[in-house]
Amino acid sequence: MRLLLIEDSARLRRSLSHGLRREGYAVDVAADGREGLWLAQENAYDVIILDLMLPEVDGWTVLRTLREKGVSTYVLILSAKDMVDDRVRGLGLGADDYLVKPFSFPELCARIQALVRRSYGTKSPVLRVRDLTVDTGARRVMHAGRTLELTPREYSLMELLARRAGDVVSRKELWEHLYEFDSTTESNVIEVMIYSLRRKLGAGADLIKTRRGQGYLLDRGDDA
Amino acid sequence: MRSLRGRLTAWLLGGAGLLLTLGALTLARLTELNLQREFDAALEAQARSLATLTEQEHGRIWLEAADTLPELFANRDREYYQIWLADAHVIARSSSLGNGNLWRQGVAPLDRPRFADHPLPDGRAGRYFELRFVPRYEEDEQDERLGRPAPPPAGAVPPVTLVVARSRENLDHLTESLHLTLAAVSLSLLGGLAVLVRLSVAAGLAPVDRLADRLRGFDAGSLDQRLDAASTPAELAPVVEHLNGLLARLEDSFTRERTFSSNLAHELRTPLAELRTLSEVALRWPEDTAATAEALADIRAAGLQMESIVLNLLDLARCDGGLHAARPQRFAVADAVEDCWQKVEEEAAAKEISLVPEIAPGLAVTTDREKLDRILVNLFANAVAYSPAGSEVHCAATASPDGGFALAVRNPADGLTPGDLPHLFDRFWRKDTARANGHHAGLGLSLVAAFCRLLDLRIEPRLTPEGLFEIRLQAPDAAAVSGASPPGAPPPRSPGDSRRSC
Repeated sequence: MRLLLIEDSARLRRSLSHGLRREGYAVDVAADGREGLWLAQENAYDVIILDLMLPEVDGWTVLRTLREKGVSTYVLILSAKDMVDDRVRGLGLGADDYLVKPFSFPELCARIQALVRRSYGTKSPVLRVRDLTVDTGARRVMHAGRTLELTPREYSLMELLARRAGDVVSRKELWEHLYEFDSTTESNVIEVMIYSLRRKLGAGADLIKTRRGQGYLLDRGDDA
Repeated sequence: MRSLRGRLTAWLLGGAGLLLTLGALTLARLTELNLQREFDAALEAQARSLATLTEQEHGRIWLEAADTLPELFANRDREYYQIWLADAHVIARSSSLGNGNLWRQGVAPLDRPRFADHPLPDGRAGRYFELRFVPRYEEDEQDERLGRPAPPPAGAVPPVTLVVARSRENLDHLTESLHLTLAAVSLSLLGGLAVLVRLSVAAGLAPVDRLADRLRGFDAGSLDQRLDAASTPAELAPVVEHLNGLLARLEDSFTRERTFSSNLAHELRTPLAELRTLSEVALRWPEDTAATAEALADIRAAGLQMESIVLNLLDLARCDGGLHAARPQRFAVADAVEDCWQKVEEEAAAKEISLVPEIAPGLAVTTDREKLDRILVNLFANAVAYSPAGSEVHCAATASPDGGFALAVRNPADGLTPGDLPHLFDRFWRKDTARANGHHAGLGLSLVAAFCRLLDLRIEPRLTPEGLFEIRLQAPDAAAVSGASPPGAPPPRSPGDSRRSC
């Protein structure tokens, strides 16, 4: 899952981006509203975490501009402004959630997860594809009753494939959801991770199908 | 008496009652005197008539035309007369006396009548008129007609005493009735006045009541409202004007208080959020020692930022409470400028910002060095924070013509407008509301203003025609400046005549 964090506090930006990456998210960061607005329009994010009192362009303007330009990415406002009027205004402008600083990091993660679920049209935190189970709450993958030991990035790849089970997900799309905007990762890293996942799936390796020239899909088993 | 209504009523009723009483008494007295005068005039007229009828001839004296007297003394039971010769022999008396005698005062001066109050023989209150006169000669009228010579002088015939008395019952009854009538009228008028005064006072004080009702309706939530000065009576206009001014100041104070509290909460929320997130993330992955070390460094920085906010607020509170005292000492301005710039040199160097000192040669001042240092450091830090990279900060200090000294810090500040100047010294005010720079909570210039007040320095922010932002400090005290260093003071450093890169 790929997130955009627009936050002017350098310390909070560092800490949040580090924690979220450790949670398996790809996190792009912006220190001001102008940069954040540009990144949000240039890339596909699952969730945008937006501060309101930003230099250059404030958070209200960023949110309004995004919605006016048709960007429908889920936005979670993260602000020290705690008045009801501020929350109403933020949600009225098109934000999907509002969290007041100071906040609990696990709560932020849970809210991001909830938004991700909404973005893929599911309500349950547990995704099931044949004998594969992805528990997004516990961030755990099980196959045939056996827990797979995955890296955060492998988990994210598996979660995305599970959310889009039955659909072909392009290599580019996978990469965009797993790596930051300025990532210098090798171009074949997706293939490497798919190989690693199949190996860890063992007997269930055929769950992940390759569509040559198109991408990968998690086979739901209902293909003709 | 604390009630304005009661006080007005008491004064008006008391005054009106006093005037009414005095008027009634005066009227009663004047009427009484007039009645008495008329009563006496009638009594005297009767007496004079009797005197005219009293005649003498050849030593004999008698009362002529005694048969006409009943007409004169028609009211016989109330009127009396008696005539005595000089030897006290009674020559005539009214029939109403019977054989009794009238009271008389004694020997009266000749032709000098006297009035007196004395009981009548029947015991009733009476009014007496006593006249001592010489009866006229019987021939008088004939002699006058015939042009005969005048009769012998009066002294040749002994004078007689005539006393006429009349009951004063009617007069006293009339006077008493008059008193009662006046008292009744006065009391009625006083009662009417009481009602009128009450109504008048109520009508007159109605605007005060309305003002009081209006003021009772004010609370912390309605401080934006004002009293209507246009419909206020002239006497209350200064009060309403003053109250409106007070409300304006109160509203301003409440607004500042709310803004201050909100800003303070916000300023503390951000570092608190940082502390919480940093610690929670570090605790979640304790095995990541590099990230944990970085988090600890950030936690320390956030703590220092909070400490700085709290210390600045404490300084402001101490300034507000008069707990900071100025401890003047003499020092060279160039030394203070150089020392203070060193404290922001690291930040300035990072942005390649240089100081251009323009200090008058040998300028030394007497003021609190520590407080002036705090002022300069804050001004320099502000200039460095908001000046574009590679720019210059000018610091000029001169002795002013009026004997004081002037110190100005000037730097480019893009985006600052004249409308921002009145807010520069507001607590937590920043041009950019975002808290991007954790080192600046918007308290620096507030502290500068507070210390300037303490040191009696006038502070003037302005935008120069060249678009530079300048804060000018002016010390009006002539004693605070000297062109030469005092004995024992460290020699002032030479002015920075060359640009110093920091």
